[in-house]
Amino acid sequence: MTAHSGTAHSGGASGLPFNDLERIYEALADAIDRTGREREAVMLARLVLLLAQDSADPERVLARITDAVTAATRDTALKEG
Amino acid sequence: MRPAGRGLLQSLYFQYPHFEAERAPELDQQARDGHGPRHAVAIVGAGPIGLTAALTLARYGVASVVLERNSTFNDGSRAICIARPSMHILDRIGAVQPFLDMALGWTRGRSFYGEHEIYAFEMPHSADERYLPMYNLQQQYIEQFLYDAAARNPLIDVRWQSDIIGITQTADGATLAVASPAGAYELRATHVLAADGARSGLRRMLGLRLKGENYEGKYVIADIKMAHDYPTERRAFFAPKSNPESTVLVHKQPHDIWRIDYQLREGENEDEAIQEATIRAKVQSVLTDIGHSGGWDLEWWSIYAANTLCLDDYRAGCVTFIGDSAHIVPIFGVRGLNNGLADAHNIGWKLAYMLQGRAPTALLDSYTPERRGATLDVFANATKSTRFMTPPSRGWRVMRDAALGLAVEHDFAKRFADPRQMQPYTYADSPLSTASPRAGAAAANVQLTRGRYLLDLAGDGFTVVTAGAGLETAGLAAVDPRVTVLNLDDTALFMAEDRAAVLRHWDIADGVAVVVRPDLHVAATVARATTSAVADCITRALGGRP
Repeated sequence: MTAHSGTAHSGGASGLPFNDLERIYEALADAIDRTGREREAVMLARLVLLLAQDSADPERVLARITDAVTAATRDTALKEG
Repeated sequence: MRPAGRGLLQSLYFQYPHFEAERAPELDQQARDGHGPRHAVAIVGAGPIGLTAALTLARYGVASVVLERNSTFNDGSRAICIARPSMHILDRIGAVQPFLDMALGWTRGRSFYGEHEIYAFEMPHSADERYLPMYNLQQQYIEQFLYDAAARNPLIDVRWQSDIIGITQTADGATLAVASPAGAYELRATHVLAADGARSGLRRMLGLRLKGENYEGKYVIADIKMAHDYPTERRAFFAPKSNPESTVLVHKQPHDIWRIDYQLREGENEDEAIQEATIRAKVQSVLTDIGHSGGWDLEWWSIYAANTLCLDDYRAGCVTFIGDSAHIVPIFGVRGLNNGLADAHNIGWKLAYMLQGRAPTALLDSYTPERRGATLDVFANATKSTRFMTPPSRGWRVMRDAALGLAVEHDFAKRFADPRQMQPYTYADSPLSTASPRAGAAAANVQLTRGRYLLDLAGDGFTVVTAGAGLETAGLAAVDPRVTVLNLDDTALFMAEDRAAVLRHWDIADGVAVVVRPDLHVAATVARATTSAVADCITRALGGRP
């Protein structure tokens, strides 16, 4: 595992209630559909920058980028057997 | 569909009976008198929903005629999951024992992403429950056990090979045109229950349409026979090794039968997908994924697309729609059969009370708001499950894959994989409820001493659970002659710890009365209960004005 901060198993007291998480999930699904395939990556990248600006915690955001890349690498391994 | 060389009814484990068409008495009566007698209730369809309605009516002494087009049970296993509230219904219509003897009970499910187990859920269960949250049983057995109970009951006249080819509604009921091998006849009934399924002929004849959403994602449902050692759990495989573009569900059924559901890839040819050779190859790849290396036999398969469709009004004149004729719900979350059984039970007791002069016709007006409300709630949950199981667009697919991939290491994302299984529905805005705590909710069961459960003691009519209130049974019997008063102070029935357990579990205090409907939903919780206040709640729950 990479040496990011020990927040991999997030949730619990500091996390969002599931209902809120679900609202965000649904809004994002809709946002991706409305943006269209060509611009969706840029839209999502902008979203991350906006949220990073809100979070004011660069180390945490960088750790989360590592988490997301780890998950993506695992997807690739899955699809390629 | 069945493998080449086997007929539609040639099952590996189930012997289909053949039911002859008996000559309907109407054929002779109409020749003699011009018409047959008027039946109180005609039920169209002898599937699980129609038979449950007939058994509910019979429980209250109301006779019915059940008309079924086919000569035997369903040609394959469709619904296989029976939820706890449905077990209570089967219990109340006196049919639950064979279900308990054969069905496989379960409480747990697991979801996998690739080879990673990302989510395990336990359905709510405790020592206070008589029944497990879920049981698996093939639909043929569900139909057979209900038919066995109906056949024993002199109030139920099941007529096989009797097809409804027309309906005329009049001021005092309906006349059904019935085609049977012995000839065509007219059957008159005051009330008709349409339990004729998703492709309801009555719905079409009355010019009614289901409205709602169709989802594009398709699933193949295949039943196979194999000796496979795994507990009865729901297993969902997202992006399994052999089919990374697909989702697979695996359920265990009695007699070594396993249900395999797998999603067709986007753009996959449907005609090709349902060819036997394709099914066999696909099933084999799923079995390799779950580590089954032994042999297996193909029993039956079908193809399925998710829909959320229902009628605007479940009643049309004297015809009431119950089950799939009224609503079609996605399979994810197992609500089709269970929702239909609740329809049948709901209209059954109401119709019985009304026909016996114990309730005004207005009682029937509560059927659509209560049961259509339950369907819309099912839609809300099932739509979320369906979007996860068969993402309807790229946006939903991207989000689904994002959640799955994160759930491997991040707990917060796991709950997205929850199948949102059937939960008891609360009739929150029912006109039958008296505004009070728990009104409309399914009554919670409570474990008592001597191996008993509180809901075992509920009567066929209204049940009033009370403590320290001194209610007069005679005053309550004036509004419902079937009323059962469960006085927690009655030491012949309840030990001190029983009394304490009910008060604690239901969060009620001395002086209270809880009015429970015949379908085990709470009608009212009355604090500082008096006989007249409780009687008023029963009157309201019977569609009357106190």
